[in-house]
Amino acid sequence: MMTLSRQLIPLSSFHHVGLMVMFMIFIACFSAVGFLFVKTITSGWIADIDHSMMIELPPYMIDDETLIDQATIDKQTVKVMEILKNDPVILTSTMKTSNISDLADFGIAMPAFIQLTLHPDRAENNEDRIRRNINRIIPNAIVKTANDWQRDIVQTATYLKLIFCGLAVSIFFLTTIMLSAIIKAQLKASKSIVELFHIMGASPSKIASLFQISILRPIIWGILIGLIIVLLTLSHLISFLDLGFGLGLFYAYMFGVSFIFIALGIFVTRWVVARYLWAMP
Amino acid sequence: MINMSHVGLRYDGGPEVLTDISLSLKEGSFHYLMGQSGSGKTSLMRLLHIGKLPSRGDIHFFNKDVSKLSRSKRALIRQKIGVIFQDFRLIPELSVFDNIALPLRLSGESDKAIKTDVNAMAEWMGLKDHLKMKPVFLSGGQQQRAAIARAVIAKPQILLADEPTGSLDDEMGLKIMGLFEELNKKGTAIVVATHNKNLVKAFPHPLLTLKSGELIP
Ligand SMILES: Nc1ncnc2c1ncn2[C@@H]1O[C@H](COP(=O)(O)OP(=O)(O)OP(=O)(O)O)[C@@H](O)[C@H]1O
Ligand SMILES: [Mg+2]
Repeated sequence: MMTLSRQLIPLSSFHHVGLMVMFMIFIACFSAVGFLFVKTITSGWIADIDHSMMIELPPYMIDDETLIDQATIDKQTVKVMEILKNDPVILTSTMKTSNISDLADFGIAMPAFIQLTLHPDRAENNEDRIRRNINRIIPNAIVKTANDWQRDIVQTATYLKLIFCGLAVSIFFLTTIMLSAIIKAQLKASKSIVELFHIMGASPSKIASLFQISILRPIIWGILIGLIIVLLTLSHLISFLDLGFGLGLFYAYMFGVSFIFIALGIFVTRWVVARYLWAMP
Repeated sequence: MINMSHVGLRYDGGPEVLTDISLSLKEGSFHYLMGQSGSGKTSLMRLLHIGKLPSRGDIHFFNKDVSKLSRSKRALIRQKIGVIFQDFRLIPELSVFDNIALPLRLSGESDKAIKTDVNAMAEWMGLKDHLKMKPVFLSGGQQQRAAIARAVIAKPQILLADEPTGSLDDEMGLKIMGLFEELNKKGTAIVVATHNKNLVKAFPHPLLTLKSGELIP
């Protein structure tokens, strides 16, 4: 079959398959890195902000948006710090000064931020109480707990991760569609040969194997070159960013993706050839 | 080996080109298929090598109804049938050697066995000096001999020859018929479609005569 395949299906007819696979391998690995990147970074962030609260004192009233001057905000800050000082649940409270101080020179009030870290064991029950205490004295203070922040981050991260997953999945869809179109075209080009083989008693799977052999060659080349490019660029990026996962996981993924491409090559060819031969008795 | 009963064939919903054909090809049988141009000889050959399924009636190959067999079973039957096409159907991309070797390659013969068989066959056919050439560089008669060589090389149980001597001179025609006789004596069932009355006289065998798609007794 090797000889027949080489003789009958010109090598050039599947050259572009190699190029396509190379490109697809890169995108598939790229989206995996993107996925892992988002996952690692967000879990880091979430750990960082766990048991923490953020108090924002905005330069306007929440209800009617009337502006507040800098002096009032400063006074509010002092008040808040006083409330917090004696709370046994609070481990640390830090003022986050705004670094756009230039604006203050023009008489524009700046919001004040105070970050709190709560005692991990007692955080749950006390978050609401602290929020209420502060809002009773300064109604326009915005008090966000770690949960609120985490929800935002997790949501954004989930969207990003979905996008990367979708990218990876659509790579395989796209490859399937393109492969079947290419094989169909080649079947049409080799119509008389396929018919002759059919009459000579070659089974569909034998005819498919003719095409398989010649399509697997460029697929394997595409995979090899694609993987080399990935190794040169992405794995470098991974170790550089120190994403907190071993390269081993990434290598396993690369191996899996290569396997899927080879499997696609085999199954799409068999399927398209079988469908083509269905029209013959 | 092949039994047809009340078979009809139409192409793509067109009119019936074969009507109510019943015949039986036994092991070691030899028939001529005669009839005017357009009478349906090639169409009947197509039914005999399962290039088409009948539109009505049924055909049994080795006692099995071909319409009810799976595709892979039909493929197995086709492997036992050698076909010489009226239009040769040599593959232009392949050398004469590779064209003749096709059935052997498909059945997975070793390269060494293929080489021996093809060379011996080419020697006999007078194609030895043309084995490396592509079919387009051969004369009509040489192409026909290559097509014959390809059909018989795997020693089929059934040989269907559609005008196998159309492009050959009388001497070569008789030589080829001699080969068919030899295969026939070893048990191959043979059907030769031909217009050539001299062949029939030289090698007498029963006739199947078609007239506008019907077998006349
Ligand atoms: N592939 C086809 N599609 C549609 N009609 C066909 C096809 N092949 C043959 N026919 C029709 O079937 C009829 C019989 O044709 P066939 O080729 O079987 O004749 P034949 O006896 O082999 O003729 P010849 O001696 O010229 O080779 C003709 O009317 C022809 O037009
Ligand atoms: Mg004909």
